[in-house]
Amino acid sequence: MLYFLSLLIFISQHTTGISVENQWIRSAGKSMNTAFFADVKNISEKTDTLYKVASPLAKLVQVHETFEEEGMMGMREIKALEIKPGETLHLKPRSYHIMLINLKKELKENEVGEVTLFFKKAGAIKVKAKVKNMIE
Amino acid sequence: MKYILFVLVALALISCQSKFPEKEFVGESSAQLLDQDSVSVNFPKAYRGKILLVSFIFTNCPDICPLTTHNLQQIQQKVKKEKIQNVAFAAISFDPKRDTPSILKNFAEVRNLDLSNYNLFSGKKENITSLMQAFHIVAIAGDTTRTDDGEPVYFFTHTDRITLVDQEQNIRKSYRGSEINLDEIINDIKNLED
Repeated sequence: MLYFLSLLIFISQHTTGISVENQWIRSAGKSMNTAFFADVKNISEKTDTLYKVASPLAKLVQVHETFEEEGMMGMREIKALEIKPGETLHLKPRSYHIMLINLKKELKENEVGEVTLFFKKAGAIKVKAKVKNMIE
Repeated sequence: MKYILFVLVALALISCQSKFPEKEFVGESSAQLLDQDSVSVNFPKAYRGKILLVSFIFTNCPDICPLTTHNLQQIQQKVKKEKIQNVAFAAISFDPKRDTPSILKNFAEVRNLDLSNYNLFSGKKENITSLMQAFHIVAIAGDTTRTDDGEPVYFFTHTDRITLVDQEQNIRKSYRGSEINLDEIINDIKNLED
């Protein structure tokens, strides 16, 4: 029963208006930076905005996007991301992601970490995510 | 008969060149680097006679460099599975101040890298800069911010590349590092092996 309940946590995390699925964190060493990825779906009838992120795993947490410019790859902070009704924000490699900067501890494969996403309408959503080396 | 032989040799040369349009010698840019075990290595000279896949990374990179590292790992696994001999892999940090050998070692351990023919390198900034020029790699530090306790945080905008170097230390082809066509790279390695 406990196994079933914990499995449910990883499959899907729903709350009023926002559903978070397929979440994972990339493994990394202590003091390093890494990223949280997930599919964030707006299941409400109004546009919502992701405006803040937090996590006990890192000293600094930000929403970032990876960009390509003149053949070079870089990252920049994004202050807010709007999600229209029925649309899904894909936090994924080479795209938008939650940056976990300066990790307080090493994150090894199969460990679990927590990230909180703050939305203007849906409020704070705590998400537990498994640490993986890479999604296949 | 002589004419037919001439045509066959010319066709073989053209076919070989079309597979690898690049040929740029990097052996003369060799410089001393330190691997993840703090062993000094003359790079790339120490790899002469081997097919070498090279990437330039920084371990604080949360997105592109882990993808490149993982892609080199995938190529390494496929090379092993197909029993292709004499191939080596190298990831050189363009952030040597932070990426000391022990940090590189930890980076490898966290990602379960097989270090039997895959090395991560740090070293003197000037040596790394000279290798970056030889491999046409650019990395620009920027977007500096600070954590709440005042620690500086900076990232690099950088070239996203894996470079294929032949046994004679010539660059033969470059690929995007964070997104690869595994079959294309394996075929290229096999063509160099011939």
